[in-house]
Amino acid sequence: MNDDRNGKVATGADWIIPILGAAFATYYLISIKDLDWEAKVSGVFCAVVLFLLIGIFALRTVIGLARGTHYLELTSLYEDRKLAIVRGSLFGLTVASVAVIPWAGFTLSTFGFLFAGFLWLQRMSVRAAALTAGSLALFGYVLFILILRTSFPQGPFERLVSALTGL
Amino acid sequence: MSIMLNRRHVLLAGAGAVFAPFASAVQAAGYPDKPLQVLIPTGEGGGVDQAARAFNRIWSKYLGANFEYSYFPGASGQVGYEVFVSKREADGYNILFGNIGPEMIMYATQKVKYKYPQDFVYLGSMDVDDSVIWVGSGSKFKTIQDMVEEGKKREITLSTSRLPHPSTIGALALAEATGMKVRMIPYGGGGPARSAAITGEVDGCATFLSSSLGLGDQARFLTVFNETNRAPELTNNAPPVNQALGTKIPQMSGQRAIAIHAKTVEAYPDRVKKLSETFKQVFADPDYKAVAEKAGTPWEFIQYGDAASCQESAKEFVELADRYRPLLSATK
Amino acid sequence: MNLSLSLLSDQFLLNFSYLWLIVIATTIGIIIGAMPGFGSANTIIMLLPFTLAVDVEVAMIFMVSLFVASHMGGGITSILLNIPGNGGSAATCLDGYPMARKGLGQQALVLSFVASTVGGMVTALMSIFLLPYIARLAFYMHSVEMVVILLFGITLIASVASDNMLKGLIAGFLGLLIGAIGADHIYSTPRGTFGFIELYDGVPLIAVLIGVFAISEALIMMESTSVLSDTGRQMMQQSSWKETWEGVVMSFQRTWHMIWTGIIGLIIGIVPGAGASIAAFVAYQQSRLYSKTPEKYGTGIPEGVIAPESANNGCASGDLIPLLVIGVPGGTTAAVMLIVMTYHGVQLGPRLFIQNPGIGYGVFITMLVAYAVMLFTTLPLTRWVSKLVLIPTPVLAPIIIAFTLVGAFAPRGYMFDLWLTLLFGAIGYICRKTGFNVVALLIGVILGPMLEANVMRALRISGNDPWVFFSSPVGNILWAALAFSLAIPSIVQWRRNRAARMVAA
Repeated sequence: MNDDRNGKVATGADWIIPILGAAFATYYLISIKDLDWEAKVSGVFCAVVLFLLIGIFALRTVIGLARGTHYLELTSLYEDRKLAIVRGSLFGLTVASVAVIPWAGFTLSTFGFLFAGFLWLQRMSVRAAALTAGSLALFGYVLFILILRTSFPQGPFERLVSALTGL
Repeated sequence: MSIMLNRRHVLLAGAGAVFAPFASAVQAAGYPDKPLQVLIPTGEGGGVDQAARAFNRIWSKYLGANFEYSYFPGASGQVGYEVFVSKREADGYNILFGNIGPEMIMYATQKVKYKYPQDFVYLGSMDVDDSVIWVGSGSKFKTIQDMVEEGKKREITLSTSRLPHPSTIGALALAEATGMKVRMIPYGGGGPARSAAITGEVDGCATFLSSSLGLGDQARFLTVFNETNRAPELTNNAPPVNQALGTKIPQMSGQRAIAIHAKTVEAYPDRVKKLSETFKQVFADPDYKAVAEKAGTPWEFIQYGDAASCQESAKEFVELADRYRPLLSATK
Repeated sequence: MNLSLSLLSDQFLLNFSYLWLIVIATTIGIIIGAMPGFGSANTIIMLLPFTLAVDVEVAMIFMVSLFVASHMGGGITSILLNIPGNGGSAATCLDGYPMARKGLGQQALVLSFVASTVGGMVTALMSIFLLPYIARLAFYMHSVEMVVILLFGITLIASVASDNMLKGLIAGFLGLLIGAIGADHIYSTPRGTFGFIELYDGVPLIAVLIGVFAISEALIMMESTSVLSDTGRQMMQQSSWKETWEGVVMSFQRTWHMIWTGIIGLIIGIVPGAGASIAAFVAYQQSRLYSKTPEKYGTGIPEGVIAPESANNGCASGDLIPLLVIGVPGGTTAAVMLIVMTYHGVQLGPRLFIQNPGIGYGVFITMLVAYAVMLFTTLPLTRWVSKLVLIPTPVLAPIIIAFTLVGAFAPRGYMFDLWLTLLFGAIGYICRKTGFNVVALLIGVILGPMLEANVMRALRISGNDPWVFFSSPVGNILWAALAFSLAIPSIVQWRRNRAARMVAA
């Protein structure tokens, strides 16, 4: 953002963070309103400064738009359509893989995520993608589940291996 | 805050013993056939962690199972209890290792989502650790009287690991009884609290005795919140508070204890029976003395308490906390 | 304290006889350190059955080696992938990653390893010979002094965001407010938690770290097929041992820099509860401040890698001093070491150095040996590890996401943390794309809670007298230094302007 185009400043997408920030600060202040001063003074301080900064930001943007030194656009958030699709699908895949962990377990969901990711993003062949994703997921299983014993929900794969080998 | 004291719950944990013979034998046969999951509502390496590990080393012999640990510190132990009650299965494989005194005070002073004793009960306690006040070796206070005298002129600052703590209530009760002024400074952990008193940031430290024993000459113990000082040679013979000042402050102790879900008591009486019986056996084991002392608890403090006595002491702490509530809680 | 030459040489011999163990422990430590979400404390806990079974000397050699190695490993992923392995290496991203993008990844790794080694060794040596004096420092570093030290770190928000100050400050204060989620430091009352019990203990740092750095970096990465610039790519493909040597030369051209930033780490490490993340940020801020070219920080310069890495390893020595000298653990790993030592009947505190001086000083000897060993195991690795960045991004990005998510989950075992990480991933992405500095946000999240804890504590001790902040001599010296450090950039600017005017006139 702020890439000067004919000396102009782009604005639009950069309102998201201030809006989120202001919303969160408001919620935070409400959540502490009944507490003793020692529990809320620092939160109030940060929230007030944040509001001030956001206020200055809003003022600057409005003045800039009025004077014509700022112009509105949203594309800087995703650059172009192709990249937006790529990023969106990568993020969507990630969300999906996290959502299935409680049923599929770590190994299967990781495999599924990597497999789909390699196929879709790198256009790997099915065989290569399955092989790479499979070996990475297996490596993750050995390292994180067997050795480091992280407490991921067990899926069919973990239960099968544990039933077969007693590990 | 008051607990609906319900005789059923008082006796529930112990009752496992009575009803167990009628429970199905099949259920008991396999238990425990996998490691028990120990949830600790304080930090790794803390006092409870050390004591639990020492205890379980012997307990596993009688129980026939190993233990796996997880730690959920935060909000003075509230996080651990919330997780235990809402996210751990009530199957007798999940137990919580906690400290009745501080954690019942926390229960009484903070907004918690669980209910005692409807959601969990203490099955047994393993030691009684007295609250103390001590000062750093460089302090000008030689006796508790010195501190009380000075405290009438200015506010005395005492470090503590967290406000909901028996030693905090002890110090506040002491201030109330003698007219001294005291300000409790929570450090969010036993280590930083002790360090603050040794390095002179505060006048002294209010804490449990056993965790301060390793400090050696750096700490001078002024008083013990119990009727007798049970480890006089380790605490430069500090006098019991009521004896030194003629006050009537109740005993302020922590009892490390195990808790289980109340539902487990109802659904698996045989498992609960096995747990409580083997829990008790540990205290008679000569090896336990060795490991308990290695973990830093003097043998004088090791003391078995059954479910009923845990319940009794939990109730007392809730009542005590209610009296000092405004000083311990941020919600007025 | 009974320090003698024969004692030290005995300890050296003991450590050399366990060289194999040190190699194993440091290897585990480096791997653990490089993986976000895994750290020395939980690894040592997992290995308790081993450390409790062997002799206490052997257990200490193992734990100390693993502990220092985890500090060393944290920089690897910071440099190559812009993903800090832990809070202590977050500052390393600032200049390490830009170096890697320029194709100087191998040199940056060497810088980080050499700086870690020098920082660790110098502070370990100082600890051996000056232990009684260094331990006294803890008597002067109280809440008030910590407040000022933390402010040094906080001012970095303004420095890193110098290209767009307003947005940087918004990010920084948003970070501070996010850091204020969770139980307050006096009454442990939850604030701003949206009712989630998972947030009662505060926002887990690791979820923010992985979200804001790893996930958002993986998304950003997709815009080209390589994380490297075109010239960087060519350089990486031709790289050989020469680059490793170049890194070594670069490091030793800045020997003094490595030493003094290491000492900053040592001093901060001594304060119980203050850790490597503060040390690294403060050292980076100080390094930038006294540099002749502060404007180059953030573009990939060697000092920007040296300062945080040397400091977070110096912090490792500092962390263990309160444990050994007063018997109070300064951090989680130290607390776990305490379990092992008390189990073996070792009395910590002043008595340690009377009854068991071998163990007390042995800790620092182990550090010296472990760092020396790591230099031999890590330097050759740089050539191969740095090739990681050659993997095309469509393959690299999913792998980064899959494996760092494990790190977000592992420390607490909540599914909630995974969702939180994704949320911070999205926030981090939006921040980066719209010019809000994510490092400023992170500094707020890391340092905010400690600042609040210390401010509230100092106020409470003084009976709510705000003058308490100016009541200690050491604190006042630090305040003066802080004021001075804030003024320097303007003074330099003023002199430059004046010089420019003179030239013009």
